[in-house]
Amino acid sequence: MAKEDLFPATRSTWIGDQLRRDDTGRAEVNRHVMTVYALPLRAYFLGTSERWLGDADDIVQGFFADRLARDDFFAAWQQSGMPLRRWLMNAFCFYLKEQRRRHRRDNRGSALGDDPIAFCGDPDRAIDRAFVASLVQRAMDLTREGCEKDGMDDHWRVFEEHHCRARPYADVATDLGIDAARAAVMARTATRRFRMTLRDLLARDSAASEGGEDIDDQIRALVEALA
Amino acid sequence: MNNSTPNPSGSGAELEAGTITRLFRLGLSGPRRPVDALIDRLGAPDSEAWLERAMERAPQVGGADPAGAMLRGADTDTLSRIKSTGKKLLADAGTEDHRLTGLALYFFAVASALAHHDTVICSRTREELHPVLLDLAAVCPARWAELCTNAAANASGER
Repeated sequence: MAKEDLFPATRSTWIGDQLRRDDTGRAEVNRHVMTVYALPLRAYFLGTSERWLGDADDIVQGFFADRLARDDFFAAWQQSGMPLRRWLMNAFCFYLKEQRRRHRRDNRGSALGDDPIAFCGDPDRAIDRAFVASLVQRAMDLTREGCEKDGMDDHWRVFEEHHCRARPYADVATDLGIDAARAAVMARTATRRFRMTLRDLLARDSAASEGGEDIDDQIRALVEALA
Repeated sequence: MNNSTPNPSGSGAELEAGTITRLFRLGLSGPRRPVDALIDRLGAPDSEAWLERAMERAPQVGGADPAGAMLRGADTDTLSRIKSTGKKLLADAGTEDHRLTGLALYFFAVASALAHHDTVICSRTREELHPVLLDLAAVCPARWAELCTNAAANASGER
């Protein structure tokens, strides 16, 4: 099937655009998914009754290797209209069941049933918590790389010291030999970059392109859900 | 999940759950403010040349060139008149360029009064002005950035 058929051009999303591009775009999508969604899927796996299946990182990587290679995987997600993290969680559940059946076949003597996967607590909440942590991590990585590339290492340093370590601008400014007012402006510049990166990453979780207000609503909803 | 997550900066530190939530909240953009159009324009690569042209075509106030008056810190009466000129230009603007020029006169006059006289010459509070001035300072050409940085410091009471 042609790429255009798999991904209708009317749904302009970052993932859709990348997949329509070429194989490099596909690789870019896979890298994004593996970077941002490994942590949420790992958190989900560790909350299930299927932890016995193996090492969490190995299971998650096995899932990615199996599912991301399928041509129609993302097209099916986009047609579902679900947030990508929910879609991946569902697909991961099926994968875990497949792994369980495989174990049963391989160990004929065992008495494993085909029960639904049990989760300790609220799986959606666990996924959302880990998703937010992963998004923040990724946005920090990308913003730091961008700042360093543009010779704005000190901008990043002020941002990180102030926002991650809660140090006052005056203290960071002393370290850098600048005044506090300048440090505040530098942090503002880095914050602006961080905000744009974070919003872009969050938008990629949606099956449809979204406006700025929708992204704000999503952030508020996730913050509320995590409280 | 643990309450902390490895810090991606490679420093070895871990991000606490509270820090993650605070950082995530930074993603909120909030409603678009009028000044955001000016901030976007000043963030463009040709902003220095654009601002210079905008100041050249801005009406003189009491025979004074507005850019010079704002940068060197004229008296607050003059700055208030520049601010009013900006407001009028904004209201009567026929083009986006004139609108942006009006916004620039308005906010730089306010910044100048704060930076040079520690005085607020508009109806906004210092708390409201502080983030606006930081945003402007982050995108302005050097001389204007310095003015807005000093104004932001006075707005926050850091100086």
